[in-house]
Parts: sequence; C-alpha cells; structure tokens
Amino acid sequence: MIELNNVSLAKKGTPILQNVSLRVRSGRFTVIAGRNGAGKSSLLNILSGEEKAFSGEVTLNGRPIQTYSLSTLAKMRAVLPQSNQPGFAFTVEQVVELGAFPFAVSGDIKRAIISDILDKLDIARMRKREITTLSGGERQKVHFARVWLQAKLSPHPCPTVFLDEPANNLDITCQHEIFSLLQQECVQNRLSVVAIVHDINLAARYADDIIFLKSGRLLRCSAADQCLKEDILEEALGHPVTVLHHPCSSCPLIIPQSNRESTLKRMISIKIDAEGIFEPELTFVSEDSKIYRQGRFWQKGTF
Amino acid sequence: MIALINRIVGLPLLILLSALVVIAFISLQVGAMHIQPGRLLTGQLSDLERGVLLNIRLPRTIGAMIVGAMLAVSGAALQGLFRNPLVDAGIIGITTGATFSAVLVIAFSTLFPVVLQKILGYYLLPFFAFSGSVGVCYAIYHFSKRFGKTDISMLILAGIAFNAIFSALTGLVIYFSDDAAIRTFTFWSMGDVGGISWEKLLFMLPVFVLTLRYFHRIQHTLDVLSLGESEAGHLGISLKLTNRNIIIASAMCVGVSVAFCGSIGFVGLVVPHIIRTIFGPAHRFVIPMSVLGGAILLLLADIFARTIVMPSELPIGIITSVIGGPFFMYLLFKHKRRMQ
Repeated sequence: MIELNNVSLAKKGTPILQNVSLRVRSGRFTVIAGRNGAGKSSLLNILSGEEKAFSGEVTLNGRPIQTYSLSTLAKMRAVLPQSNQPGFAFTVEQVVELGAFPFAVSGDIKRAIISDILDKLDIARMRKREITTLSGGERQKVHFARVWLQAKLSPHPCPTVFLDEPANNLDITCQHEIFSLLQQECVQNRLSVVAIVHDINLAARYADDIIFLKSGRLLRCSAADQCLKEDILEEALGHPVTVLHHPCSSCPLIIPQSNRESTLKRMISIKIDAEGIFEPELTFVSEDSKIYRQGRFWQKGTF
Repeated sequence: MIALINRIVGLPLLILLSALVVIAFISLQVGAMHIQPGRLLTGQLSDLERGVLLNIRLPRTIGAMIVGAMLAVSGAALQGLFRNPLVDAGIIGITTGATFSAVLVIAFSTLFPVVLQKILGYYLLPFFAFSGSVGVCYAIYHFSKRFGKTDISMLILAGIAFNAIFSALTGLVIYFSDDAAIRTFTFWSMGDVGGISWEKLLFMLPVFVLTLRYFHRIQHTLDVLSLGESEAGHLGISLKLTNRNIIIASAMCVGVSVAFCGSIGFVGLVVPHIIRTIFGPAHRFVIPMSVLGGAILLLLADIFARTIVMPSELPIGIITSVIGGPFFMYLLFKHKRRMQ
C-alpha cells in the first residue's frame, strides 16, 4: 500500500502538485485521470519512487519511500513510462528480456516466462524483429511485455505496475487485451496496477479505484462506482458528459458532449420533469432537430 | 547463418582470437628489419634480431593491441552511455582534451630536474591526460543531455567546439615550447605506437585489466541504459553512479592511450559499429568482441603504417582516419535516413 500525506511538488517555482493526500491499495486497479497538466505523470512518478523532490510524506508499506534503494524498488514495482525509442536496434526478445535485469533468475525460467508473455500479447511472431522497425503500437506492446516480465519475476507478495498512458498508440482490441490481462492479474495474483488513462470509458470498464486530479490538487480518490458521476466527471475533465448505463455490462458508459448538446439535454430534462414521459439520459436532440431515443432516430421535432 | 553464430557465442570469439594471434605473429616479423617466420618460431635469432624483437617489436605489438582494445571498448561504452552509435572519443573532443593536458604537463615538466621529468613522463602524464579526458567527457555529457535524452546535434556541435578549442591550445603550447619531449605535432595529432616500451606497458597493463573488468561487469547495465534514463532507473540502476563510473573508465582508457600513443582516431567508432552490425547490439557481444576487434584493427593499421613506406613509417592515425572518416560519413547518412 502506498500512502501520500500532504504531498506537494514544485518545479522551478511552479507548483505541480499541492497538498495531495491519498491511499493506493494493494491488489487493486487504480486509474489516475484528469486534464492535461493536472499533475498525473508527476503523481505517478512520486508513487513509483522516481520523483524524490517532493514535500510531505510518502510511505510504501508503512516505510518512507525515500528509504528504499533503487534496486529494492526495482524488485517491488515495474514502471512503463511514455514510449521511448531505444538507442540501438535491439530485437523484441532482447528488449523484453531486460525486464529481468533486477533479478537473478535462470535462463530457462526466464525464457519460459518470456514466451508465455509474448504469446499472451500476441507478439511472439515478431520476437526476432528489431524494435526500431515496429509501429508505435507494436513498440508499446513490447515495452509493456518488458514491464510485465519485471512484475512477474518480482518476489514481492503484491508487486505494483505503474503505467503512464498504456493505451497510447494501441487499437481497441489491444487496449482491451492489455487492460483485461491487468485486471485478471489484479484478481488472481494480487498485482496492483496504477495507470494514467485518458479514455474515461476504458477507466470505467476496468478500474477499481479512480484518482481525479485537477490543476495539481486532488479532486477525488475513491472506488470507481462512487466517483463516475456526471458532476464529478464534469469538474475533473472540464467537459460536460452524460453518464448512461452500459447496455452489456454493469459499468457506466460516459459520453462526452459538445456544449450545445449539453444545453439541449438540460432542456429535455426540464420538459420531462413537466410531462414525465421520457427517461432523460436516453434522449438526445441533434443539431438539425432530430430526436434520438436509446441511440436511435425517433422523430423530428423540438421540445 | 548469423543467427546461428549468435547462438554459439564462443565460436566468433575463438575466430577473432585466432585472427589476433596470427596478425600479432605477422606484426612481430615485419618492419624495417624483416625476421623470417621460421627463425622466429624456432628461436634461432641473431643478437640484432633478438634485440629488435624483444625491445621494439614485442612491446610495440602488445602495446598496439592494448591501445586498440582500450579505444574500441571505451568507444562501445561511451556509445552505450550516450545511447548513440555516432559517439567517438575523437569526434566529441575527449581525445583532444587529453592531448592538451598531456602536452601541457610535458611543457611544464622542463621546469623540474631531469630525474623528476622521467617520473613525470611515466606517471603524471597519463594522469593528466586522464583528467583532461574526464573533464571534456563530463562537460559533453551535460551539454548534450536534454530532458534525459541525448541531443545528437548538441553532442556533435559541442564536440566540434571542444576539438577546435583544445587543438588550438595544444598547437599554442607546442609552438611556444622548444622541448624535445613534445617531439612533433604529428605525434599528438596522428598518433604513434612505435614509442611503446616495456616501462610504458607496465603502466598500461593494470589500467587495461582494471577497465576491462569493469566493462565486462556492466555489459547488461549498458543494455538497460540504452532503453533510456528513466527506464534504467526503474530497473534499479543508480544513474549518477553508473554514468560517473563509465565516464571515468572510458576516460582512463582514452587518457592512457593518448599519453603514450598520441591521438588515434576512429577506432572507437568503427569497431563497435562493425561488431553491432554482425552480432547485434547486445553488449554481452559488443564488449568482448570490441576488445578483440580493436586490437586487430590497430595492429593491422600498425603493420600497414610501418610497411607501406618502408623503411620510414606513416603515422598510424592516418591509416585509422582513412578508414574511419568515410565510415563516419556513411554512419551520418544512415542516421539521416533513419531520421527521415
């Protein structure tokens, strides 16, 4: 468990984070969300022990995080920063293998785990390819495989994986592949995941807990179902949204709106209050006055 | 085929090692005075031949191998540190920094008594050359880093600036100095392995063994470093310490080479690159192969240098630059294409 107590961070006199106090629980999938420049990456760096120039108190399993050596931290947690091209043309397999650097493991065990990971991520066929020849999304998967290997080999009872925008460059299939793998690991192997995610629906689908940051301050840190509310989302993301029930799963479905849609929705709400006919969150009026109900065209007209 | 060789790490190492032995054997024979291979093997040598072999050829051959190996392995390590295959001690100004310090210490050593001069020549000279190369290496490292990444254009430009400054200063010191110890400007700008004696070898050997052990130990660390600085930190590497140690070890290699053999360019650029092209970028291949490759390249260059214009000798740096210069241009073009 990682605990932040009144943590602030400033760079060159500009405050990045201010008085953040929160708790990241073990074995949970925690998502950090917020607008650009809200301090998400800085928070992730503090949680992962990389950023040390903060004020306040950060404890990892009850001990101040600064007292852990880098090599001890490397055995407890893995970090996926935003994509970076390696200096030389390493093969996919070689890059993934670097995840085993902090550990003394036999070659056979290492190879078996690497094969398993490459298969699960569907990149086994490109294991001999040079990483410089891969597309952005493929490269992201390779780095993810490296981070996963590091977490897999960790002797710690509940290792943590920190991911800075892991969905970057990935297609929808890959995004869900990776996120469901992570969720599975959380449940089965008590892996803790802390990820910065911009796609709020991806967060809603997989996150156990969500941390919302706004301009360097903590807006909310709670279980996902408690904070995926329209008012909280609107404040955190700075954009009007509609929260619907997902037709197939129990998680909420968040639809960002243009400002005009947002006004129309309010108009609808008022009308419905008066007549009590429609369920407000299922009805929209498009700009050319077409009325949609439950995602389908219903009739032309205005309220 | 290459993949198969890759799997058997021992085989290419063995091939290079045998090549080195053969070339070393040739190096012992050729030169202004040719020694017959049969006589060399049986040991039936005249007194003159024995003298040439023991006092000139043998230290020269061993010295050329050690200097070549040190230059190549330090090149490989510096390229790993800067995460860029375009880095070479000569190009980024480390060699000229070392040269300037060495020339300076020789110029000022005339102020001391002769006995002290001898001691200064052997012990203080490499130390000063080493400090010069460490200084430039640190400066270059800090100049070229931006947000944890190496800015290659900054690196090359800073290298040009350092090269210009230190070459000018070296020229100035040599111009105002009439000491014979400085010999010629050619020695410092083009290199020469002809002056290597047993005493100098005695000093070079411990530095070589020490740095080689260090580079061997950090092979995997260099792999991790090439992922990026924060990634290396996440994998448990203390960057400050590792960077400092790599800089010091590489600077020791370059400093000692410059102090005893002048500046020999491009070995550190060409050798690791060829090794990477054949065996891939993993440093567990690059480091040991660069040691052997560097030794082979410099020994070959030395053989050419003393046979092409016999009985006179070409400065060895001309040979390495003739190979290295075009090679560097080829690398630049390749880099440019990749950027596009």
